[in-house]
Amino acid sequence: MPKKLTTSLFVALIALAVFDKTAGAQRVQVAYAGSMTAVMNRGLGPALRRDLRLRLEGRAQGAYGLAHLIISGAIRPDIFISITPGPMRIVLRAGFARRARPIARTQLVVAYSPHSRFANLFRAGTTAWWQILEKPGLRLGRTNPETDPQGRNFLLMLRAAGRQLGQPQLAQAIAGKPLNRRQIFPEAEVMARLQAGQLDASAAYQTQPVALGLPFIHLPWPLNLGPGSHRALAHIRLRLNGKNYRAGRLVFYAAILARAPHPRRARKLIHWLLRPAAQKILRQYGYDAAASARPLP
Amino acid sequence: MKPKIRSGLRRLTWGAAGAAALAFFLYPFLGLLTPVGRWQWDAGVPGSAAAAVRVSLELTGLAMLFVIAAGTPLAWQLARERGWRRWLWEAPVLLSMLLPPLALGLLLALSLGPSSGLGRILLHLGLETSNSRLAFVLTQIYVSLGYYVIAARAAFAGLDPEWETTAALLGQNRWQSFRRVTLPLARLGLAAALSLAWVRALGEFGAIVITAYYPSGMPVQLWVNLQDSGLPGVMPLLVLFLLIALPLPWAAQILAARRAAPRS
Repeated sequence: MPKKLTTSLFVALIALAVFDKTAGAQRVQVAYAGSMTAVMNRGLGPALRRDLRLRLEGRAQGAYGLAHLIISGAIRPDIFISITPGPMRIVLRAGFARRARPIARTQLVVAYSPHSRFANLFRAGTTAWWQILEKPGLRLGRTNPETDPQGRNFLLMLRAAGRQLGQPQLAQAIAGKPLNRRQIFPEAEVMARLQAGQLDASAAYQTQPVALGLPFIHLPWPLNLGPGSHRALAHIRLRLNGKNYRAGRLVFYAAILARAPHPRRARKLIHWLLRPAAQKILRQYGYDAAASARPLP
Repeated sequence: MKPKIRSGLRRLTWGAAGAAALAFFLYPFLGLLTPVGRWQWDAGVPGSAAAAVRVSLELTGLAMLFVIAAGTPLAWQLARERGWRRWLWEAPVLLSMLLPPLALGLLLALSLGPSSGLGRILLHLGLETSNSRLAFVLTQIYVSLGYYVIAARAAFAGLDPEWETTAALLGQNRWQSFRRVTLPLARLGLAAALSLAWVRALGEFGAIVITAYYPSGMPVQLWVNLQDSGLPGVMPLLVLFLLIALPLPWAAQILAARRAAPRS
């Protein structure tokens, strides 16, 4: 092996690392629930750069996956933002964060495709949401209840609706089996299929259709997992693979991680997130105010 | 007359089978015609697509230099080994290719990341091994090196060892005969190996999404755009990806073929 080549490759590697360091002078790394990608990229990211001169480096993935990556040490971000308390509790219990603050919340809605032959029915608002979802031939999408809280929450919501409406078969009629293969897709794919018109409707957090400009309908407040509905859903259970699940509050929690590479910037960012300027951006992207939600633990 | 018809018929059948396979390759691209709303050329993020392209091209290019430097001698060695010794040399190479990329990403993050011993030492030296260019390049080298080595080994193995013997008899030392005889003869195969490694590294997602979400290369940017703005944000990047990934392997093949052709 010629020495010249080895030396130049070594120099290239060092240059790479050094260049990287200067480029990352004011960065802050945030691991957040995948559904927040739009508000982070288009809303909060640019505002953060303007207001605090911080460069937001986000990592958008499923919140449970992120929680496990964090406690295994595979990734080391400054801040973790989860939706529902579940993933955040994993991080808190492992001692990787001390406290998680609620920064916003959202609600469960039904998004629909503008290309769908049922679109007019959704738009008209004269037929009850569950009656539309029960229509034969309607292609419904949802996420995997085994791995994704949204998929679970949707099934729990259907069961609660069935109970409140006195129709015990409602969940079965709309969703089929909990692991109905025809309805289950990865989170990002559900929305993509709605856009492409391959699905007629899907379970969604309000923030998702808002970001994509897709139409959606609200669910009645006792069912939408918003501020008032938690009590109504609290006694509903879903049993999957030997585990019992309950509905989680649709609250976004943010925590500074114990081993954050940039703890000062992380504190600044969390502080900023709670201020009116950032909260206004969150509203624009369909997020509701955290209101009565309490910090964890 | 009869055998002529038969051979014509055979050629037609083969042609039709080949065309069917080509149609199969091209069919998914019809997906680009799906009405998904107006394509967002930059998904609202200034320059994100351009940045992703630059990151991918620069860093994959750099990774390929390391792949050539580390892979060529190993491939040559592999082509020379026989029996159980060859198996011993080959096993680690295959191991790197057998793991699903996601598993590989997790292993790389755990063994090189900031919580690992080596990661901590490198961090002290100012070298970040997670979410950095270094992590990006290292992951790309790891996922593509095996493909390069296996393909390059085949290229070396296809050469007659007599050539090197002859070169030695003519007074060339090992390095000279490798550089002046073996390398030019294996050029076409090596170019194919390099294009394979290039495509593999450029398209890598499963491992890189764990080790180097930042700086986002094209595959991660596709994923980000899908979550950010859905299909209208993905389609333009997809087209860009095709335009950028394809020409380099083609150019490598054409260049190698031209150089390898005997000069008259």
